[in-house]
Amino acid sequence: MITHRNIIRKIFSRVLVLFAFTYISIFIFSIPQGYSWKIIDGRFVSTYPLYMIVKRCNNIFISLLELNLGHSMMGKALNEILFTSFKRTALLISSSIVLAFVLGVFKGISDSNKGNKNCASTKVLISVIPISIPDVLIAAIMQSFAIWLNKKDIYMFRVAGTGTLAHSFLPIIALSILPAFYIARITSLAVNDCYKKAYVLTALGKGCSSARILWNHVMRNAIRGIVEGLPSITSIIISNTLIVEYMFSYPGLTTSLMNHITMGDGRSSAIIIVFIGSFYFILNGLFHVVSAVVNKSNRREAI
Amino acid sequence: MKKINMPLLIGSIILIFIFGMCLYPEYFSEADPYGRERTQYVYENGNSTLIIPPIPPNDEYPLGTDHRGRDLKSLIIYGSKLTIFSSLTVAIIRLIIALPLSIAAAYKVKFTNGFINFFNTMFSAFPLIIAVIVLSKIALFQDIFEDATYVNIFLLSALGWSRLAHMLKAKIDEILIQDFIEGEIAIGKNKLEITVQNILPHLIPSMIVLFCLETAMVLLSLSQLGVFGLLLSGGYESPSGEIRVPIEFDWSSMLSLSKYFYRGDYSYLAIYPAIAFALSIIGFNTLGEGLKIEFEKENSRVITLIRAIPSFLSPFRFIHEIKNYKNYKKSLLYKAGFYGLVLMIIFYPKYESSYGFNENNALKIAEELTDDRFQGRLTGFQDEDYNPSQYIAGKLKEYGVKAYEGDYILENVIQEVFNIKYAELSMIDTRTSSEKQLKFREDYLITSSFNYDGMLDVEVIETDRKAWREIIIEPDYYREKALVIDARTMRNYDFTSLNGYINNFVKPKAVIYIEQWEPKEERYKNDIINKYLEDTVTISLSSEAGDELLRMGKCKLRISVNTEKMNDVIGRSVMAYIPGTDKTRKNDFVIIGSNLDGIGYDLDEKYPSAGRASSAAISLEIARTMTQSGIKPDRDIIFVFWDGNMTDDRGSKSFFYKYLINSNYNIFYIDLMNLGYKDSDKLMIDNSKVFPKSKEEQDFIKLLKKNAKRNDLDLVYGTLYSPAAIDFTSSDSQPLLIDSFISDEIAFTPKDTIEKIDTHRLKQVGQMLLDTLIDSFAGGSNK
Repeated sequence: MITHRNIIRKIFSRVLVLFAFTYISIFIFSIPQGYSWKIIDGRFVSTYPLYMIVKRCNNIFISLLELNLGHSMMGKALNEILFTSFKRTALLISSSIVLAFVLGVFKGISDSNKGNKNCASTKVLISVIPISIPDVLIAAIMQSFAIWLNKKDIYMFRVAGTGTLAHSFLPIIALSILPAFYIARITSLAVNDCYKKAYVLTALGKGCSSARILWNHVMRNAIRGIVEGLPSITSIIISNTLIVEYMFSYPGLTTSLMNHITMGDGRSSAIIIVFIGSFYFILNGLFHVVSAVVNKSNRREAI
Repeated sequence: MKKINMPLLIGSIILIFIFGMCLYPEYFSEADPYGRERTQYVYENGNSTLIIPPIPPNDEYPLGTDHRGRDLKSLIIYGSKLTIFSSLTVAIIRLIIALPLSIAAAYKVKFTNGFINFFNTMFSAFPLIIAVIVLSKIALFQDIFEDATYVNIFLLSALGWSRLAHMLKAKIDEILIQDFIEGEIAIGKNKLEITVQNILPHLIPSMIVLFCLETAMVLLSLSQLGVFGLLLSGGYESPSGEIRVPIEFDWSSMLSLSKYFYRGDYSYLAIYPAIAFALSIIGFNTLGEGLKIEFEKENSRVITLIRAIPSFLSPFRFIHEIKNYKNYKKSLLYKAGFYGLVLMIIFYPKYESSYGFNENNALKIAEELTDDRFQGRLTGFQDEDYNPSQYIAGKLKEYGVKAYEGDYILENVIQEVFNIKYAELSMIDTRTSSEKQLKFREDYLITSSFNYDGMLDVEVIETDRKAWREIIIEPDYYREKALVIDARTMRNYDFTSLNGYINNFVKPKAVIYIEQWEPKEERYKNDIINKYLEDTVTISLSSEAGDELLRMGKCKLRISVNTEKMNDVIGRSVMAYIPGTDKTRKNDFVIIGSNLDGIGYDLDEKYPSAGRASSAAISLEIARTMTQSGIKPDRDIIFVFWDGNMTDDRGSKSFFYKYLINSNYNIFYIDLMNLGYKDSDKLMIDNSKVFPKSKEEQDFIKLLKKNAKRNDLDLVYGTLYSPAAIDFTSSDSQPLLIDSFISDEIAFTPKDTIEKIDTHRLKQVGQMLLDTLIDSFAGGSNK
């Protein structure tokens, strides 16, 4: 009974957070740009009535609850805009997460000192420097590389836009690099932790090969730590998506958001940001579920 | 062998380099960031090449230039200060917000934990950069903080502290479960005492580490904000410019400008600022990680050093050690050395130039130039036998400064000069027959030299282009009218087109422009002279009077204008020089130009133009000091005093065409505009036409800044206009303009009198210029 109550409480608190997030997001976009306070006769007077902002915010919030997304300022149906851009962003993010995971795990294994403490500070450098590279630089370098290839009549990568698979290669790679470095760091720490465990030392003592120790003893346990660390990179993935989509003119959710912000379409921008936020919550939840599943299967194996 | 803490070492090296760049950018870059390459033809080996910025990286510009021709290397170096200090400020504010909240959350104060968690989730789901972009556009923040830098610092701090609070709380939780905390509780310490005496001292190492990592995070956010076009720095060069250009420099803004050039061959515009970001983020991250490694060591020297700092600086400890000096001899020796060094820095003797600028002489000359006997120094209206040119030439001769090309005076013919002798303008309401007379110079200005006396019907011209067709179809109808044009809302392009239509098809008797200026605001008459209209009375009406005229609707205007016009008058510029000693530099010149003429008077209202007179006086005094002190510059330094520089046939143009046009000279022109105002403790310089690659000119600007500081003057950058600078803007001549910061308020108005000038300011400006000239071209002002 207590467990059920806890679950209900947890679900309730999550839903509350989601509602609060939605309302605040809409509120931020509902404030008119000219909103300010002036001192008239010694009193602060707002240049735009606050209740009007709240009313405007409530209207958008209610229409969102009714799933009535309406139209953008350009007259396009918002659900269509969201659906097409959501599809593209989902493709971009899911592909890059898979790529980042594969790259990150292998890099993390190679970065870890595998019980050897001699070059610990150098290993720190190897893991810290890559995660310090701004996504802007990665995207700009990739674009320069694609331009260079295009000049040599190699059109494997397209610099910007969408339409063909070649257009998606660079954004996917650019988006996967930073999360890959983060995953590598998490992997490296998890692997190092496992190498300190008694059962690894025992296996070493028994003369197991290093490959066998790595894959059978270390990675099987380290994977839990890696998956547990995944939710912490969700926000990094989301903010990177903004940059990558914008720089590669990839028509996903964030490009759509920026277009509506530039047009001054507060209502559409608010709805898109709520969707981006929902994307974050879904992704975060997904990582938690994967983490729980991995945890459970590990425990079952242990039993 | 002792292990080296590589992250700490590398992080420290990078940050020392970056902070060096922030504090002393001039040592890292040869060029000033405001210097620009411009679109121009460059002639080399008989071939001409058109250069259009942005210029890709080459030998002269290792990192290339931006689209405005500014050296990217200098922009990055000078931009480091604002970027790094802004990110440090944000990190500090975040720490200040996060620390009490995380302590409260660790003590399980109601709602604090939930608040931190909610904030964290909120701005993970709602990307921080989008929140900052949206909120920074709201007028409220701009009204409160005024500067874009402060708005962005505030928003980044107020919205981004939760992650830090989350991490701090985790650290405090770790401390709170330690055994010694239980002990402290057992002896009866309250929560505040435990926080101050136990938690904070144990938290300091983690706080330092987290501060470094947070600064790196802020820098990352700034780079992302830059991509989306958010400018960190405040101020824009032109409100109607094609791209918003910040006055200050920072890396984010550079990324925001480069967004127009991501594609094509200009990706370097994004890559180099991004590399600067990467380097600084690496610096802060590696320093943070290095410190973490160091703090985790059992016998860390760094921790010992950090802990020793408060004790070393403590005055109580110092007094205690002095009292027991026998026990603390070594420590006292270190402290004496430290405090001695501090005192030496504070009381280091001020630099004194070996060549004194005589401000009293300069003031005397300025007084004489503004005297009534020179009749306002208006070109064409001066006495033939005794005029300012002869006065200056006489002084130069007396000082022993050589005449340039054998003659002190350069004469040139000026086709037309005019002076408004009388003006009257009345608005007559045809319904009530009431008449309102407007005040000349307060409500309106006459901006043409056409004489007229009569009454005209008013015809308001719509700003809509379709309405202009009627003007062309029925020119006779409009010819006998006073055409009223509301220029306040018109774009320059439309304004020019409409003037073209009126001038070519109509040629009316009068055109009245309603402009955006307030009554009684003093206006510079040449500012508004309209060259497009001939044989038409052209009037500029203040915004208020214009509104009144528009309210009247169909009405009449009584206009009476009497101007004094003179054709083919002689302009007399004065020129002298100090010959250079280096024969290899015979094609290099430094020209110091100032204006000899005032801007005259309308009716009997005199414009003494004391700012211009004192500039000429400063120039004259510099020439005297250099000549009489026997200073030998390496190249010719020419002192020129322009006449008629507000006309089309100006002295500077005549000088350029006579002496410099067909030769391959390298000219550095310094224009002294309105100097010596006692209320102006700042000087404005415009070096945007000095090429970043010109080493000597850039060195001059660096020395000018240095000497300004020595003379307690602030230098600020801005866009200045001087007709002479137009003549000296070419591929081989570069103008530098210097003006008083407040000259807009005084110059060209009746307020510009000799009382506004004082000797202290003349000394400051004169000494700064004299020292810089000697330092740059004559071996140094410190003998």
